[in-house]
Amino acid sequence: MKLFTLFLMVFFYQAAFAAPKVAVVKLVRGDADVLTLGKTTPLKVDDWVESGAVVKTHEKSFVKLIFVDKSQMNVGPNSEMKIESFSGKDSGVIDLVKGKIRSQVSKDYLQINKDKSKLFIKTQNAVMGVRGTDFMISTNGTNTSTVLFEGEVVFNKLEQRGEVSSSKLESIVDRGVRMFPGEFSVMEANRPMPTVPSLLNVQQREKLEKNQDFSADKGPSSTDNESAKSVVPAGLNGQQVSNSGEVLKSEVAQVVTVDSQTKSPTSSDPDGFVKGDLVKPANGSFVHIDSGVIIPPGPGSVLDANTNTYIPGQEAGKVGADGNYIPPKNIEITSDGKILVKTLDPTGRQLASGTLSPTTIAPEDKPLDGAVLTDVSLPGTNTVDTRFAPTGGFTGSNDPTRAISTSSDVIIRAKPNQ
Amino acid sequence: MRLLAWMLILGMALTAFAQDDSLEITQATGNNLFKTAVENYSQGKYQATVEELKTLETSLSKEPSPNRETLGLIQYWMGICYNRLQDFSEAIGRFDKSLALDYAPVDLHYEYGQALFAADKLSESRLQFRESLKRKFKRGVSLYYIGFISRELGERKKAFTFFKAIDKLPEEEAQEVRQAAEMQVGDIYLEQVEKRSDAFKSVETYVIPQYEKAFEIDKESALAPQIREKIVKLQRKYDLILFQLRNGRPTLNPPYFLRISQEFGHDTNVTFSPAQTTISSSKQASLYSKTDLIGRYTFYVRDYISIAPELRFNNTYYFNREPEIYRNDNYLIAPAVRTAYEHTLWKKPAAFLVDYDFSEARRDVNAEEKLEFSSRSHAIMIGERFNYWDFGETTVRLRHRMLDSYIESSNSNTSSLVFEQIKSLKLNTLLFYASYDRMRVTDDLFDTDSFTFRVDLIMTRVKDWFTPSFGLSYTSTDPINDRDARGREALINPSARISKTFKKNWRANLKYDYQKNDSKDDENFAYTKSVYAFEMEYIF
Repeated sequence: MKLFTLFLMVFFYQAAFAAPKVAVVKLVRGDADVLTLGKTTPLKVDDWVESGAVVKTHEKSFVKLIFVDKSQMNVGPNSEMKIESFSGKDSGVIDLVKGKIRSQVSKDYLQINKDKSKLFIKTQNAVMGVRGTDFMISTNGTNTSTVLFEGEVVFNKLEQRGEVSSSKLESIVDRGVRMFPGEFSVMEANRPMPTVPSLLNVQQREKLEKNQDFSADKGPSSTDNESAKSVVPAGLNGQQVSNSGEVLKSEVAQVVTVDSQTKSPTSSDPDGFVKGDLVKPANGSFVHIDSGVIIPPGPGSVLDANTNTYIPGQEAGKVGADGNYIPPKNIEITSDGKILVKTLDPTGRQLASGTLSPTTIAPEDKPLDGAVLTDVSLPGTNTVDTRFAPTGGFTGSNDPTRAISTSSDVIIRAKPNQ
Repeated sequence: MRLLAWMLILGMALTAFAQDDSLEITQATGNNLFKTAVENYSQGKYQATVEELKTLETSLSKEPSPNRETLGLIQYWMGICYNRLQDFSEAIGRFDKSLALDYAPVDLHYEYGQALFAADKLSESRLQFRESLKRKFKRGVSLYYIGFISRELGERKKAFTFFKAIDKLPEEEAQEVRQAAEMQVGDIYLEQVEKRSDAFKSVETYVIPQYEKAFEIDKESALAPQIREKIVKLQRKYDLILFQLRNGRPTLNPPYFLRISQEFGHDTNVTFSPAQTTISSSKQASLYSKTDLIGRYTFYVRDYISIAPELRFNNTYYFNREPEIYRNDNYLIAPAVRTAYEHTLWKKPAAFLVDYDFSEARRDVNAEEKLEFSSRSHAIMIGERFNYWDFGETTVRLRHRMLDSYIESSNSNTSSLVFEQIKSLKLNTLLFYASYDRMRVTDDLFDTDSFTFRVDLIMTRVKDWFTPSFGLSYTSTDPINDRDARGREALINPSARISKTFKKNWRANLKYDYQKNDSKDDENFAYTKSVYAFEMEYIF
């Protein structure tokens, strides 16, 4: 009888206090685990994940979760994500410790006021309030980058670690930057606020948007054309040679009635700037998703009037089929944001390497003063030639006026046309 | 049975629809595909647009008599999308097809020309830009492309003609490319002359003026610094302007210095010292205004001598109109000539300095609200500026000054030995100053020997906002013939200053200065004062 009473007590205790099940696993690729109440178990399709659980994916792995509100969350490779809360009564809170998440949040979730966040995603240094539907967020534990495909999100620096109430998170994101579709923002470790949202490179956006389950190959895209040079002849800039696209619009209008509501994403000024703490990368910049490094379009970029973004030439790098940025051959960007420069011989063999370390934050009244890239340390006698991309987004010490450094990891050029 | 009949009907219907679908695209489906393409295109989803257009193309071409115009539009549109995707070989193919279908909207040749240009098919590209020019689409830019390609192909004369043709376009079409075209003309001139043995003459006569013409079109443009750089590079290459002195020291750029400042301050104890032999403190405070103007121009005689005439003017006015105060109203005119002979010492740049300074001061010495002659001085200085230590420049000077006062008995001669040292720290700069001054006055009661030590710390900008600097000076004066009355006097003078630069030329300063002079002769020589001031400077 005593045993039966004890069994009943344990049963009711568990029923009353067990964490609620908030998401079901719809797809697992590779190896993924869930950590619940200190116990790690491999994740399988149809497993339920509880509030408070930590989902971990390994290399080349991926997990698709469907939450109780029908929101979809795809957890990318090498990621760790904790579901802090997802009660159904209040905004959910997800803690992305590392890696990346692609999420499509249900529009109707909680029926919360559209100016309030339906979900918060925290990282080591940033918090995002989700008010829209389709976005990606990625962190290397130091920098956090986010790209919005549809809807609206608000994004800000998060200084407080540990669990933070959703009302507090709401007040933090309210003071942050508001992003619209097609835009990206990066929260760098040593800066007081995220970058002003800018329109992402159109190719990168399109490929990232398609790559919902992180499954595309990391190889180069089909439109690689390394031999192509810039469309912009020396002396002119990307705005001057830009075609407004009005002719195409009128030609198309003769065939099909174009819905006047269909608007291209625009951000008033396509150029970047640095004003005190405000840093806005130029529209059309690439983002190295794994590290949060921003690669601005180079001087040979053409302004695409249709999207109000610059389209950089091949010398600035490419976009892989998975949507990630692929730097030029002699450059490597590590996941912790270091930019490694390699000197190659004509056959492509590496002769020497060094690190680009932009160190100074540009002051307001002389925005290009601090932009000196130095510390190209060498293991041999060769001198590293940092002039690998005279028209690209990277800049060597030979041309300090082209780059603005915003932290030790990120290079932003203020204006592609200078 | 009924179920079987239903299944048969359903099966036949599905088959019929499937056949229709494979045969041709319906108007509605076509419209939807177009609409999706428009939507994708407007969002910059160029790859997706291409996919939609390819589907449309496939469907349309299966029709018995496809609409050539629609097919042409599809090719043209795909060409534009491929251009945005930087896939120029595909773009070229699509534009070709569009032209083959006689579909050539006004901007097609321009887009086609750009694709060919990026693919390095320059001659073909030039033809397309010529068509674009004929069709009056972006005529300025099209002409520029033609000129630029001609130059790339080594056809300088053609290039020159096309660049110059831009001038004949209406202003609104020419303005965005005129500066770049003029720069290109400068480049062409340079290509033509730089292999000649007397290239420097032509560079000076034709090339640099051409670049200057380009620069003048818009000095603030993104291209202007590039043009300026070309000019400077040529001036250096052909030694057209002196950039560096014989010992490696750079010449001043610009060679002029002009500064105007206006200061408003509050002096807690205005002191009167017109002949610099006596000091009488008013023990009254006053607001004051001080205007200062200094200008200097440095001429270089060959690469080792510089001569810099200088002129300084300042005017001080006290707002407290008590006679004891306003007798300090004054103005000063001080022309000077500074010369330097540049040489090396310990294999480092050094300069032998010779300066002459003149000054004339007028002051309301009689408190009659009238500025009258108060003093006039001539000073000769010789010195040496050298780099013995790696951390900064050292200057040693010998100076002799002759002063005529409005009171003859106060006329004086002062000989000084001055030592100045700059010490560059990691972020800040320290300035040391030490001098020994030997003043001999007509009335020898006022003869003095004095030592001055001063240290200034100039800091780097704090939080990108302001620059602080601090100074501390100590002067010990020995009134050699009046020791009993005055004793050895000590003047302590700490000061602080905060500066903020606005834009490029404006600077605002907040200044604080404290002075305490200890003397046995309390009545005539001891005093304490604080001066608070706000100053605005404009440096040309």
